[in-house]
Amino acid sequence: MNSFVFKRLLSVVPVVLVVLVTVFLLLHIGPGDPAAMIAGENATREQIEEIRQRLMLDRPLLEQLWLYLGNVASLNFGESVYSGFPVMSLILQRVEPTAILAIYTMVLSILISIPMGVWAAWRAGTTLDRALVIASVIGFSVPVFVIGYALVEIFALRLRWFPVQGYKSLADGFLACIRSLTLPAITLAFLFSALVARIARATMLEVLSEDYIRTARAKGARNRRVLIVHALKNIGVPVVTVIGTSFAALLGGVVITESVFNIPGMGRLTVDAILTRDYPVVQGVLISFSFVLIAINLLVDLSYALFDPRVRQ
Amino acid sequence: MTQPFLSVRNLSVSFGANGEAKVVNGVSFDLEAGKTLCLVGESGSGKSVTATSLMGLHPAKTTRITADRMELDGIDLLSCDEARFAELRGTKMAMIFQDPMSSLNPALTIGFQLREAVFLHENLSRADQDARVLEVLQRVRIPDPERRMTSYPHELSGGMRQRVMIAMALICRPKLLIADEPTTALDVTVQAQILWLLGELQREFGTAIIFITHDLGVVAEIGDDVAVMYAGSLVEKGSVFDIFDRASHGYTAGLLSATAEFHPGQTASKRLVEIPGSLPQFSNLPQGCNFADRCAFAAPSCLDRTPDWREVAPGHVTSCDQPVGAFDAPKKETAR
Repeated sequence: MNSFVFKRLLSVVPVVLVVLVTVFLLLHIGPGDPAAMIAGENATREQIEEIRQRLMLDRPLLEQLWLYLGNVASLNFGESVYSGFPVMSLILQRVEPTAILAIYTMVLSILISIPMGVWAAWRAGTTLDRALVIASVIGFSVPVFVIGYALVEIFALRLRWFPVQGYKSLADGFLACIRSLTLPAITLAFLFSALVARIARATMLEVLSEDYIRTARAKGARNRRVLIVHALKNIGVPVVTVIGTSFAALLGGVVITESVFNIPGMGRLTVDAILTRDYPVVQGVLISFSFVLIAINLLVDLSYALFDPRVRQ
Repeated sequence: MTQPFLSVRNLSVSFGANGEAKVVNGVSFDLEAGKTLCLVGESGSGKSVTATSLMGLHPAKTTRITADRMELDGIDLLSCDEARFAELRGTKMAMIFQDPMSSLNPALTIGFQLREAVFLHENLSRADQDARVLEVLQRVRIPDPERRMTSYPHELSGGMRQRVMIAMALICRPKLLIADEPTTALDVTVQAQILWLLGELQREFGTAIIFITHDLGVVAEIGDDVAVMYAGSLVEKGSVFDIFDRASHGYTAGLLSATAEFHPGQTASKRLVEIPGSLPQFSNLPQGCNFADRCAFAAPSCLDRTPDWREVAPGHVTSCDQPVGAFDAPKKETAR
């Protein structure tokens, strides 16, 4: 068991290095002079030289990489070219709404999708099952901003249950914060739970046709018990895998959702940084997102041991 | 005359919403307590479906089961709903399956799966449940049972897993055990051990066994009575001696001559005699005798009329209009 965890942890190291080098090279693989690109079209020669000096772009590439890795190791992502603030503090300011939105969406989606998928598999072939399959196709086909605006129209403008847009931070109280993020979370949950529900249904169908399910029934276990005790644990691995891999899609959706609902989160920070060619911020955001995804994948891998004893050796 | 322990009359099973595929057709048999009935036939002949119908394991929506009688130990199985069946499974009847690799839940420990078989039916303390599990694991000769209780199925060999399955089936002492080809997936030495174990447990607990197999060697070893199935119907029924020494249906005769034999001192290997052709489609059963077009003894009339049941000896019945009489294998004619 411990060696399984250790091996998984070790396998993260090369991934992290590849991410860091790629993000570092981002500035250098584009055509032209990075200093000039950052400075913009109307910059004078002196301004470009100044940026080159400040960002140490005049040093040899390997030395720059070494300095960069050292900075990242001490959590220093440099300063925003645009505002002059340290990138780290910009990210820390914006991380709260995004983190809460992502977790809220995950919890909501899992609570909806797994019971739905399991239930659809149990009632496979009925009208309800088909309705669910159709709903999930719609769920991940309709663009996030369409669902977002539709929800705003119904629940914010007409029913006035939730605010139209904006974000209340945790400092304003937990309930206020959750209320301000409910519509965005539902919007994202459409996409996410559609994916998870489909996988849950498909793997559940497979598991229910396994011999050990027949064995469980043959010893006298009732339907509900067969479903919960014997089948549910066996759909764990595929379902957790799809939750982990679609987390990347969720982060993509977060960027759009934050624009629709005007939430000052990481997604907005990313979009603004790209538009203003604020390379240090773009790099910092990319590294943060990558590390979150690496961590999620690691957790997914480790969770296999929870569901499948065969993995533990 | 007293009622036999298990009595099935005219059992038919069809699948599909409209009963399109009639896979078991008018099967009747009796089984006395503590005896072994072997259901024999090739793959797809309906033997497993017959047995799982007794357990109520088919999905109710897509399966139609009809019978004149289906009684186990005085219980009318035809009137049982799913909840009643769940009570009977494990206590009155239990089942072991062909593939012990896939029949145990890979995510749960052996101990949990065995304990569950106890606490589903009996109200015992956790310590008493564990004691029962340990006892039954010892009975099926699992070495080091305490340690095995915390093992997962993948940590056990095939033979050990089948022993666990047998332990699970017998833990509540059911009076009927249905064994669906329990030795087919095991290698020959393990097969012999499992058969021996089943026989021993049967003598000790007085369990009646329905043993499904296509291996006539196994039948000779453990069978009391034999029922031969073909294309969803019974074709011949009798004691194990009737079937092996005086097979009277063309299909039984064909099965027997298709069995590999080895006699000490035999030098030249004998060519196995196969039965030509294959099973008819369930949706398109031939007129007359189902087996007629593959039968070595068929008369022209066999193709036209459905054969009657006739008793060729007391307790030995055959559904054949041209009973073979004393077993006269067609091997001499066809051997090259």
